[in-house]
Amino acid sequence: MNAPTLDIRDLRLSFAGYSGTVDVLHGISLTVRREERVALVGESGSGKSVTARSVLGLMQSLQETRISGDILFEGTDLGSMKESERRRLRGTRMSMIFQDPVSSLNPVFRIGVLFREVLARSNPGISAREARERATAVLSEVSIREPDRVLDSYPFQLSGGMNQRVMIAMALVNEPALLVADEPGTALDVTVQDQTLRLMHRLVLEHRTSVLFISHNLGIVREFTDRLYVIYRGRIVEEGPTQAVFQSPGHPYTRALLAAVPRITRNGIPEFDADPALFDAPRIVHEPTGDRP
Amino acid sequence: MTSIHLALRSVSKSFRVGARSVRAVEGISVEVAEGECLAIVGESGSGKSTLANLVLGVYAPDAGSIMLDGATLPARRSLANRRMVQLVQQNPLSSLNPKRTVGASIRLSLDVHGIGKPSSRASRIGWLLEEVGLPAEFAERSPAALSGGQRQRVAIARALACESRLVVLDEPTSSLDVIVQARILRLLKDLRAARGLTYVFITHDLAVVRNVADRVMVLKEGARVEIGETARIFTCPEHAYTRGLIAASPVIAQEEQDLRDRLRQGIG
Amino acid sequence: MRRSLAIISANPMSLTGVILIALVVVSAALADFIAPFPAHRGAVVDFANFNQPPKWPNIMGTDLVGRDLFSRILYAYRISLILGVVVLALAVPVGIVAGLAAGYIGGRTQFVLMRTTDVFLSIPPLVLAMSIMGVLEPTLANGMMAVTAMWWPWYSRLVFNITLAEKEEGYVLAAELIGASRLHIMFREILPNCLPAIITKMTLDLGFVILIASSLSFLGLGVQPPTPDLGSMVAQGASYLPDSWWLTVFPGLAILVAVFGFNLLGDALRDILGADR
Ligand SMILES: Nc1ncnc2c1ncn2[C@@H]1O[C@H](COP(=O)(O)OP(=O)(O)OP(=O)(O)O)[C@@H](O)[C@H]1O
Ligand SMILES: Nc1ncnc2c1ncn2[C@@H]1O[C@H](COP(=O)(O)OP(=O)(O)OP(=O)(O)O)[C@@H](O)[C@H]1O
Ligand SMILES: [Mg+2]
Ligand SMILES: [Mg+2]
Repeated sequence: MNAPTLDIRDLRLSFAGYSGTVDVLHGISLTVRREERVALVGESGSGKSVTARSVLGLMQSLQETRISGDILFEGTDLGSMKESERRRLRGTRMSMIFQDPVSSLNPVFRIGVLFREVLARSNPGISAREARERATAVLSEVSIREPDRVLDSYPFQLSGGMNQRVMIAMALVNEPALLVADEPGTALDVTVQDQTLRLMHRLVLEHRTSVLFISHNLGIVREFTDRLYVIYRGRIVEEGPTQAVFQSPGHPYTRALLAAVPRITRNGIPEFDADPALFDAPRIVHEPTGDRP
Repeated sequence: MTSIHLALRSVSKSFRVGARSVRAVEGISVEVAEGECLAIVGESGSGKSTLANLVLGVYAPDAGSIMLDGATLPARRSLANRRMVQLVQQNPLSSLNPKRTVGASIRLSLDVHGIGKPSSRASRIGWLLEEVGLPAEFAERSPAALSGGQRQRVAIARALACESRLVVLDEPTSSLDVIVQARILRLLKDLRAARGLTYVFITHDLAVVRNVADRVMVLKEGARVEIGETARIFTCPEHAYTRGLIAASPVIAQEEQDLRDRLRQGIG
Repeated sequence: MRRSLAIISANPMSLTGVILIALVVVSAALADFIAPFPAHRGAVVDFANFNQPPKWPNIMGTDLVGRDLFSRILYAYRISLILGVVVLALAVPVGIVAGLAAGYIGGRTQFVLMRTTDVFLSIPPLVLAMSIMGVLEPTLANGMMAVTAMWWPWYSRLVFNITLAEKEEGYVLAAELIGASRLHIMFREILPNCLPAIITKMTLDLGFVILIASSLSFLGLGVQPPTPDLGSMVAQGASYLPDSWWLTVFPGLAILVAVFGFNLLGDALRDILGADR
């Protein structure tokens, strides 16, 4: 019963493309213990989103992915589960918040309908009235003042901040054991982002949810997580309690990462020690001639 | 005594959305000196991009005037007017045509404005790429074969190709990760020094503003809330709205935390 | 290129499409050499040998005046392909210009162009072509005109929709701010981004143009005898079913092969060009 909420062991992943395979993850291991909030930080293209999607079991069913290693969720290996079992876990025991709330909410349905669908995942027999009551309750938990209006709206009729809150409410309404948040709030402006993240933080504390928090915003990571993994080019290069890593980063990449963050108290563009060729090299160029983005 | 490069005189702009009219920019006046970097900050929807578009001549102001080098710009910009101000956009993935090579995108500016002899344009493109820290051979590449940071460098090279002295930067680093961001900021700073450029720098990342701007203008609902020297705005902001913005910024160092806490108390 | 080959060979359907179209094109191009009776494409009569079921040397049988059906099908392919290519060569540029102008310039231009497009689109294609052909003489040239008239609006709509989306992209704004001309922006910036979708649609459409042209001749409005045409062959043969089945079955199969082949090829191109939007 003491298995960690999430235990990833030596996860390797590559994409088989037309021009050969591209290795994206070269053996990632990370753990999220119960009620722990763990961050995964790293540069763009380092494989953060791919890791998150693998945890949700979204990469396993893709034709072009080659995946190996174990992902244990509460002690059970996702790899040994059937696709239908993995699907049952999503939105119930584990859920995800995406970077861009507007495009991840289906625009053709009202929020109320979307909510009911989410609720029906854990309780298929739920009545429309019950669902509405639950939804109203959670929406007020995320500080939405007019839950009724929101439930009757389409996603595009709400602001980015409201959509993000709706996403958070949906992700938490089934009391998941694990919440995977992939760059929540990057699409929002600072004030709204700050409010939304505080809110999310409060809720995961109240609901005792474990969180895998993906971000390249170190300020946010510092404020909202207990432990931290640094991923660089598909490898974990550093791991430790967030405060400790911030105080004494070990890996040169982590040091560069921290040094590169501009400070609100200091003038001048951050100086940091990093091999320029390393950081500006193309990520993975799938096609040298490249006729599609 | 530096001269005024860009001046806005009570510029206003509203948009019709259905039956309603949205006042996106309301009576903004500001002067930007030659070689200065003025940051424009404010929350989403506060009119930052609208102001940038007015300066760029995407649309004309409803009221007020925009002056460059002391001359009022006409509502319909001539080719010569266009050449005086260029834009670097937030998302280089969208701002570079995926179907054209990097060289072709840069070349457009040279062709349209007849800069250099046609035969010398290829080498000019090479210099521009080198100036932004990319090898000249990149001219042959398509944007798809570049990283985000490299794409943004190309977008900067394109803006420089026109030889404009005024560059509007609308969230130029918001889609990049911090390390790439720092490198682009450094490039922008070096270019400003080398070419004597004037920047209008739009962002909602206040830490970036603190690092690059000489002065900051804070917008709220299209109106100017406050304007001043960067250091002053960050240490003792006059307006509660500005304090709120700073206090909402994520920070990583203790000294920043202290500043934020102090400002938060100020908000009460 | 390697990637294209990889995509095609990885998918049996794409491969089938390529093979079918290669067959059609080769037989049309080399009809003079392949056809056992090249003279039979014209007004030849051989009453000694009329309406014969398939047997050597008439491997698909003979028609009601004794002409070799296989030879006529090969020549019919040639006409169909020429018709398809010419129609698209006329319709696509018109559609592209209309769609780009409507989408990029907007306003009154958009109103006029897209209303016209809608009017054409709202008339059922066969009805439109039939009414044109009813007024004009039913010659091959007029047949092409009729089909062209009903085809360009599809392209103008397609290009219009893509242009509306592309117009919002940053690269268009960048070009405008540099001071590039409208023509440059429409044809050099936006058009290249529409091409994958256009090319894919053209491939799919070649099959449909052939089908529509056949339907017209089936109704007696297309290519006129003695020129061989798949549609009129099916039409003539239909009254002799089921006894003289070869009169309809082989031309019918020929239509099917071409249409099916172009569709499969179009799907393959969609994958290669990434035109799925
Ligand atoms: N479906 C796919 N097919 C091929 N390559 C892919 C696919 N999805 C992702 N990749 C590649 O895998 C690498 C890691 O991508 P991922 O999205 O995980 O990066 P990330 O760390 O989340 O970056 P960001 O911070 O920009 O979101 C990238 O190089 C990307 O191009
Ligand atoms: N073309 C337009 N038509 C109608 N309304 C517009 C248009 N452009 C901007 N607006 C409105 O004007 C206001 C200011 O928008 P603007 O894009 O300038 O904000 P911003 O400060 O750049 O925000 P962000 O940080 O999100 O980019 C908003 O309320 C917006 O909805
Ligand atoms: Mg990601
Ligand atoms: Mg903006």
